[in-house]
Amino acid sequence: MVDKNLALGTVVIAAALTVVIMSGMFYFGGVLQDAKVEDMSSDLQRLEIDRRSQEISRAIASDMLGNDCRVLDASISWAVKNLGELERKIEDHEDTERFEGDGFRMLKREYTNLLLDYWLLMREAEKECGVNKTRIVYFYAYDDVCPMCDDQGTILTHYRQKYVDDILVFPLDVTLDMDPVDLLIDAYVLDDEGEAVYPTMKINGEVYRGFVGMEELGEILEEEIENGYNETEESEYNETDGQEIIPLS
Amino acid sequence: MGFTTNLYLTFFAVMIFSTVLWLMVYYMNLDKISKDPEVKDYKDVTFLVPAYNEEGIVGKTIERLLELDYPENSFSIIAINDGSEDGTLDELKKFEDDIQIIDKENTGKADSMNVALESVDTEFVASMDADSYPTKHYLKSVMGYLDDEEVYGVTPALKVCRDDTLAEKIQWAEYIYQIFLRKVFALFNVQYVMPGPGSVYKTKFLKETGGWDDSTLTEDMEMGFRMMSKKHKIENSTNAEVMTDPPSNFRDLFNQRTRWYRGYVQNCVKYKSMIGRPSGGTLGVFLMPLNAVWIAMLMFFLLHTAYNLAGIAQGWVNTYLLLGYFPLDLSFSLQQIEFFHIFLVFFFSMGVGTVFLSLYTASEPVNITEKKINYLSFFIIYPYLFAMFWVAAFLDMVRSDRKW
Repeated sequence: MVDKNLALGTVVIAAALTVVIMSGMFYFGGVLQDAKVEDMSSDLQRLEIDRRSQEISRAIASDMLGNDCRVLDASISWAVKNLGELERKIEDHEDTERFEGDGFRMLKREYTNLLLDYWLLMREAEKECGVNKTRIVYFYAYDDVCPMCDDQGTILTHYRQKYVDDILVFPLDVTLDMDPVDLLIDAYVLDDEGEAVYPTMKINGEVYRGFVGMEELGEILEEEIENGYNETEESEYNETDGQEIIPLS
Repeated sequence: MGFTTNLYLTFFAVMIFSTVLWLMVYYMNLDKISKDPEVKDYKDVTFLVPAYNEEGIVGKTIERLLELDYPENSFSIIAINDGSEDGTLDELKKFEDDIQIIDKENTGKADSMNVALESVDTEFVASMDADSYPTKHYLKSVMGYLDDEEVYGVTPALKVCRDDTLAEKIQWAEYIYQIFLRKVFALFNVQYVMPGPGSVYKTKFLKETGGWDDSTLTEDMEMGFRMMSKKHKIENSTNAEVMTDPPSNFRDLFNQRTRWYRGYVQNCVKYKSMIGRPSGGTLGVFLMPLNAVWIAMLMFFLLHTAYNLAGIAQGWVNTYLLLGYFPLDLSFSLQQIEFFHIFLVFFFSMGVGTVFLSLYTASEPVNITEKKINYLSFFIIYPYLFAMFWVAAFLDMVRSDRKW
């Protein structure tokens, strides 16, 4: 039988042990979080190294052959195959994230830079070498800002898997507070009243504000893939006071 | 961190605290877990066996009581036929040379025991539900504790007598776990139930305090609260095995548990003056508030799980409506592991450890192959079932004023 003092002592020790165990849990939680970010970081690092190698290959090809189209084509094909894997990990991480960490946010910003870099590369490849892949810039946010983004993401994932060799999706989290993303938001996401509309997709040269259903998106993509992207369909730059500000394609 | 995450973390802390506390109490008293005090002199005991429509089992109960390893002239049996409509009385009459039989109109279990209590002249009295029976050494294991003047009651180690159906299998594991829990509760002086099958009392205490309370849904729990409120000790013997007949299906189990849990709330209200006050002892200061947190926590878990499952189902339907098919994704990555999974692994390990400890305490072989359904259902189904019964009990309390 436990007497009153012993009971109190036991409760105090149990409480102290609980604090120790909870602290241990938080510690392991931190270790897990670091391991997850590290896992994505190494993927990103690999992608960035590959991207750098592609640039060097381009420079070599230009110098030796006077034409870098073959390297550009290979780079785009590589991006179509490899960017999706990290994107998927980022999605999984966001689904399970309980605590917002700076590490993950930084990583996502870096990844967004890489995506935009490929987006520009793709544009260049189309212009200079006629590389013909459909590119979708997808502006999304979480539920509170964009309740339909989940559904739009599901449909986009379906088509990305269906047209795995023909489509490259560039998902941009509009809450990341990055200059290049903000520039694109100003250019494509704001409607006539200046209000941001989510989700928004820019499929090749065309902007689609608001949710696009399965069937409609299917038809759009089919047409885009079939016809290819025609650079002359839109002007290259929006000009304001003679200053080039926003790349449109 | 969101509100829900904070709430879960608070509950996890409570779960860890409770588990650590009971494990500490267990290990601090290892020498007392399986060792009962020896019986110095064989004190007289009267068994009260109230029976209502128990023709199928009451004969076995009486037989087992008569076979107890205890001097024949030191215990007697009073069986009460509480207005049964089946052959219970005929079954009892088969033993009329060895036991006293009271045949009365149906007034309920507590009142039946009180009627019999009037005829008891032994120092101790034991209750034995008609659907339960003791093992041979039960009484010897129990009676040694009563040499201590401060001990007013002793509880047995209850086990289910069969585990054929799923409901019985779950209860099999639950009762084994309860043997562990009842012992640590006794060691921590917070045992608040004197189970109907096999609890032994000081007759004087019962008579002085008016016998069993027939106004409560759980008179055995009321008796535990009453003893605790008067600062009397209740001991427990893990060797005093009593086998009880469990509800065979979930409907009967549901009815039994909602009655028990309503009874618990009823007793908490009755003894509310114990809560948070030093005069309420460890039960009032510590366990009653802790139990309240546990109950709230389990109901939250249940409702939140239901909410999450509804969300998942809605997500599936939504995806189907969007795509026209269910995309099957069986891929796994490190990114899918989250912070809460660490707690899940921890609680599962603690749960498995506690079940092993309970098996050891209950002197039951582990027997994983044969009892795998019992263990699995206890881990997977029982927590939700337990929480569901509590929700149902509360709804029942709100809706009606049902009596036993």
